[in-house]
Amino acid sequence: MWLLEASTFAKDIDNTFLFIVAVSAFFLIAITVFMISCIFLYSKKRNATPTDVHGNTTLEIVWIIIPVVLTSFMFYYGWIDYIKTRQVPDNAMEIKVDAGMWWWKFTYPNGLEQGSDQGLTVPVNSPIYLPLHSVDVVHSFSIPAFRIKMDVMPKPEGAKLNYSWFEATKVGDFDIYCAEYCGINHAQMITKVHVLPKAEFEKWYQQATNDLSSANTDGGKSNGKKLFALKGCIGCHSTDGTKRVGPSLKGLSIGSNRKVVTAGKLRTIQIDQSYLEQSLTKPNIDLVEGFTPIMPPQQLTDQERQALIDYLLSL
Amino acid sequence: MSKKKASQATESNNFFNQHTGKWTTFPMSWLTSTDHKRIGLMYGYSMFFFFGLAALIGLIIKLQKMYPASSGWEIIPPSLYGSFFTLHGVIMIFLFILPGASAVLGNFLLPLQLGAKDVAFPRVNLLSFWLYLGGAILAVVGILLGAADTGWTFTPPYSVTTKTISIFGFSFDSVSWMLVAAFILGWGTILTGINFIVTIHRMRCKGMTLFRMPLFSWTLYATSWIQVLATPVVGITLLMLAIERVMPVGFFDPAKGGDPILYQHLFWIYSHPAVYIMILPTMGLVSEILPTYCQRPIFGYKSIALSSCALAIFGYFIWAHHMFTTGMSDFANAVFSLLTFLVAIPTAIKVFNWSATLYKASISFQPALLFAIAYVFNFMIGGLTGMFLGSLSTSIHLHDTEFIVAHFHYTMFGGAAFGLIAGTLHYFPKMFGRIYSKGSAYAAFVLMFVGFHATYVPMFIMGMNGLPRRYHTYPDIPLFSNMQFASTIGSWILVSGIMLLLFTLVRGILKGEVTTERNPWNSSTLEWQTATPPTLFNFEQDMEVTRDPYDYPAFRLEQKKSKAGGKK
Repeated sequence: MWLLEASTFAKDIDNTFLFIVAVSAFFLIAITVFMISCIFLYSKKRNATPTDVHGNTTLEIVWIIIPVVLTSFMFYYGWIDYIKTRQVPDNAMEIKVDAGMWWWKFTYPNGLEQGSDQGLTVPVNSPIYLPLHSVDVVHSFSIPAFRIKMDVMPKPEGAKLNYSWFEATKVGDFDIYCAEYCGINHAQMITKVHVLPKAEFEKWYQQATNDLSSANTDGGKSNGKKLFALKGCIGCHSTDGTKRVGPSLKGLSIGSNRKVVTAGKLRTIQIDQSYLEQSLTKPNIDLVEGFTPIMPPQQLTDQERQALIDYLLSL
Repeated sequence: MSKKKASQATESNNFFNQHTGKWTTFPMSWLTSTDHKRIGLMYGYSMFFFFGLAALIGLIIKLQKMYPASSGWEIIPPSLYGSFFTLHGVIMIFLFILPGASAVLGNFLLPLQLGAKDVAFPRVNLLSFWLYLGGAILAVVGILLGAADTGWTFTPPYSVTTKTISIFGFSFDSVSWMLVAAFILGWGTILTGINFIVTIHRMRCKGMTLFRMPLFSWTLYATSWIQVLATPVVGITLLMLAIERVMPVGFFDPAKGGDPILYQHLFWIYSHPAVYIMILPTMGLVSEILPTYCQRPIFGYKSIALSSCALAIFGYFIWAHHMFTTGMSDFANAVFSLLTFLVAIPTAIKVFNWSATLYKASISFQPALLFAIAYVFNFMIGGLTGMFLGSLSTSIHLHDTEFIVAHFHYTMFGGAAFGLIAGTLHYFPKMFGRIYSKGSAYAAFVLMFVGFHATYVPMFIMGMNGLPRRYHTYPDIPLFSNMQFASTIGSWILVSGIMLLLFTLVRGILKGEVTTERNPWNSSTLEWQTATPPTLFNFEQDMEVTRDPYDYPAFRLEQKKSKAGGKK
């Protein structure tokens, strides 16, 4: 089969899919062949006098019963597979998913956060529970290879979140898409789920836990790159010169010139520390020429802000 | 001798020749006409114009996806892509297929099929058209100036928060304009619905019982009830959204204490029944076309008539199958999945009865019949792929992917639009008193049919593999890039077919061979007994119906009698 099957749900859902394909193909072909043969057999030339059949009650009843029976099966199969995707096993590992325009963030029980650049890392053959939360508009968390999809809704604090769960059956990398239109960069809101063998995952996770405690002691300075992903910068700005929704941040340096629009007027400024700080906290005051004022102001601690600026200048 | 002269006089007295004065008054004689036939044609001209326009926009959308962006391909930037698919969707849905067959052919044919002089409220009918025209202009101007990018579904909170684009220094709230435009269009729809319901109940000629009505009138009846009962819901919902955009009120935006799911419920309570507004009248057209070219009674007249009403009723109870992934309760999902499958029953009844009508018929082949058969074929694919979307587990996998887009186009384009075209070709001589070029219509059909499948089959395959819809570009996987490429080539064939078809129609209207033959396809229903084109008040005398609409044996006897009478 050409569809990638990589979770415990995939096989069952594909069987239902194939059942409906079979039924559909049968009726489509049968009725089409019937219609085309009629057109040839009963053309005016071959059959000058039509037979006036007005209808047939038995036939009407038969072709009411046929779809009732077949669709009952379709409903039943669809339901029993669906309900499995809603019942989360108790031993599932909880990884919180946050979404925003246009980034993903995955938060692990140990406090580790991974952004769109790193993706979601999970162990094979273990259930993973994913509460889904959006910070702005409706997104939809979709992993086609696992056959799961759930809308990521913005909810008030404390409200019940939408959730999804899966158990991967194959080691490898699979695409995670945003499936609900969420603005200009909707098609770029893609990341990966990395399925690792259990032992490898344990090692990775332990390493991450250790790094996390050492990162807490070095003042978070080394975290600029990570913040760039986690704060969602990565959703709009490239670091390699590619033009996206926002300007690329490649080659940013103190003292270089930049054309910006301030209150509707074009002017040239020199990049300095205060410009960079302002670009993070009040990004739309001096707008880089040729871009739309859509960047939300960033809530950052002084430490985080400096870490980000250091990272940006290193690009 | 004198009798012949009189009939000639009435035939030159057709509705085209009424009220035409100097050239300055000519446009006004149409824009202020309360004649249902003129109103129908005006809807037709504007709708086919919008159809061509939105098809060209669709062409650009497809071209954008010909190659993945990673290969450096970009026809339109991401910021405009959102506006393009919104423009395509809004025009195709609100300005073309939603008024659809019921506005063009429904207006033209309903009084003719019932043996009436006009609809019940001719002035209200004209008001409906003005509302349509006003709403259409507002929508097009709004979207062209402000580039709304919400999609035709206006899903909040994105539709609440999306920025307005400023052009030449003044900012223009395109989304609110579109919402108000849709609200106005809705009023036109509601008034047409009321008009048709009253016409059907009060204006039938002598002897025309409900079960002697032609099937197109039956579908208009079912459609009208949906229009009257469902449209107000979306009207007020869109207005609430517009209010939320311009005032600090929170209906749907959670940041203001609103509920985005509430919007989706209210929107789909209308928009699901609305797909039956789009498709039902074209089902009626196919039910007219098949018996005519088969020259035999339609198989299962009552089943087809009642299944139209069943579709209209069931259509109300299945809206939430658009919302399986929003986090509704499992119980709600199960109920809506089960109810969705109910639709399969009336749909299957229609398809089986249509194909049975071809059995032992005496078929004369015409472009209209070809389009009608293609309609049944395309619609079957549309309907059968709908089962994947009714079944919960498969539906969730396919939701919001290209599969949905393909499914929707199979029902609404391969179905509804093909049906509208079939109907237009079928009634073309009656409407215009001219004959279009058959060769050119067949050529257009081949291009459209081949192009249609080439465009949308690849989208089914991409959707099965999970590619989401409304993507400006896509991951560079061979499967996706090959299918997108095929789909783009398909769209070129499809749009050239559409353009050829529009050319065929326009050329037929302007230069087609003139005909005054009343019943060129030898059809048994009442509308073919009027002059071609019909006179101002449709019939020369009060009509009386003495048989069922598709009673071809009785119809043939009538013809024999009148021939014998003519010889004497």
